[in-house]
Amino acid sequence: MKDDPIARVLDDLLKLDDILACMVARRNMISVMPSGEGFKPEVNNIWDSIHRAMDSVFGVIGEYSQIGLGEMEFRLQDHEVLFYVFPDTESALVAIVPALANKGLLEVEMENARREILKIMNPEVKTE
Amino acid sequence: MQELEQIRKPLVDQPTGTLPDASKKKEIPVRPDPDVEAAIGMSRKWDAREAGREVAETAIKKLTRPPDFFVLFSTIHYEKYGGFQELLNGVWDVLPKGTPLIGGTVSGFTNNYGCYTRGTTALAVSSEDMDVAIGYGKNTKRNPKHAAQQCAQMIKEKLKDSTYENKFLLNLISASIMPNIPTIGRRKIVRSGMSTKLLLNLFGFSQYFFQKGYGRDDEVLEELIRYLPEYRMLGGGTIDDGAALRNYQFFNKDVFTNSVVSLGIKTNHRLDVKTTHNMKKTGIEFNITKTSNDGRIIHEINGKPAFSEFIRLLGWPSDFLNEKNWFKTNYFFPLGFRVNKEFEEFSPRLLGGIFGESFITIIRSKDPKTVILTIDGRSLLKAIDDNLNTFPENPAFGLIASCTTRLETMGDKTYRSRDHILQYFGESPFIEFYVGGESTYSPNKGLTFVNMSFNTAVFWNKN
Repeated sequence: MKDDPIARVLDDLLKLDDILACMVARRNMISVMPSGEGFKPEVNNIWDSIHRAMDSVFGVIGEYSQIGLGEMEFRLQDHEVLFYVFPDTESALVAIVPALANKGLLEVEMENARREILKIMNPEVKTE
Repeated sequence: MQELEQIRKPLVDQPTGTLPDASKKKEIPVRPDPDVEAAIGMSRKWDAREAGREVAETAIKKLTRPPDFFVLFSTIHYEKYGGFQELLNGVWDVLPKGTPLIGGTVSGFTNNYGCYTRGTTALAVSSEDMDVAIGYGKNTKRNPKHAAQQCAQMIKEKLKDSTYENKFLLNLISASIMPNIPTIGRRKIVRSGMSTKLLLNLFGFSQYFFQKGYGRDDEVLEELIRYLPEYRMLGGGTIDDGAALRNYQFFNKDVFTNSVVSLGIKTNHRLDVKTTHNMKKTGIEFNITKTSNDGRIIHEINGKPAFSEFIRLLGWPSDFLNEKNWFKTNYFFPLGFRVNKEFEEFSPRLLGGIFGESFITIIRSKDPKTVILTIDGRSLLKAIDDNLNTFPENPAFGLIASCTTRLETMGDKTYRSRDHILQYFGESPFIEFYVGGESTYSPNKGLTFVNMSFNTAVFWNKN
């Protein structure tokens, strides 16, 4: 896992204070997680609920990513879950952040991570 | 003195693993020109020292002569990953000794590589037709005039023998810091629980003794202009990641707090500055009828308690402005005030907090007439075109002070804003740095110090 370049991108994201968890996932499956200690402890109490809700969102992503669905998000209790969809796939970069986080700043780094992962997945893809 | 030739070799060996892939494939943006060379450096490394080295290396490796100045911006993250002194130490591991350096912390930046809210970037410029000086002044929140005078004197003294006609000043000023008031903490909205008078007294105490409070940037700027009225100026308030808890300024090898640092340039190169914001009036107008002595706290509007009257005018329920939706409400409905009473143009001013019925603002009220402004995403982008389309083409390089609210509002769509900037700059080096409280000044247009705006300083070649 430590040599996985996508995991390294996730490691970078998870170092940001307000990213409590991040992963590359699709419905019923987490494809890549950060290589280190996993998610931050704040997420533990709510992870089961968020995980169930995520699967429902992935149903929508699976249905609409082909026609350009780019991002989704939902708020559950004191957390928000951000989905950055990889174009034309059923997979997304997912991050769990506190509801009161400065989301605009996090979104910039989410977008950078999505672009980096896209390049890793398909080096020929031009993301800019 | 460390020569450029000496530092070239490690550049080849230096791993660039944390730089975006694009920068590995792309040439470092540089403007080769017989008159002026400018280049952008960047690092995304987490370790402060390594990031400092990398940002300097990537900036200067394409210059054919040592830089005449180095402007450094960093996000707040390095505070936890080695500290800003280490960031500067890393820069000075590489930067030729004696290069004038200023900089500060920002919430993010856009440059020729992309958009970032973590990392560090720098502009290095070398020119045979440019004299450069840097200055600083401390304790801007306690005594802004004195700080500005000290800074202006340093610039003036060092550039007194320069014969170049075009003058420019970049000012980075420590922005407002939220005081930590007992029992209140750092909440932006305190509607009850402590008397407003007591709260405001504690705020004033914090301002003077701890220098945690208003940035007083406008007072610094007014004094700088008084001393250096013939300079064109670009300015921004150094900040953190939106929490407004701390910020830092860089001056050569030192890290400052609560200070102003300035870069003065005299040159043959053409240059100009401009502010745009593209805010629209909502049609809701009112008069500010009672403020604090310094004009930064608004107690009454239309002769009534400010908060209640404000939400009545907007038709909002009283609990609509809260900590959770503060950004969405406050940022999209700033107060509009006239920078100059002679003009009907209203510029945005953000609320910094609400204590009881009073509004805390960052920019002083000098004119009672106020309108509530609003904006949407398209208008945020149009402010860029409105600004850059006024300049001649083919810039040599540019610096852009943009309000952090633009970054926080646009989020990942900041890449669209960068596309608009690239339409003008193309391959020419530029940095858009995100600050709190931004300004331009020119002798013919005067001072514009506002929030939520897009402010440019563009340099061209001599001919």
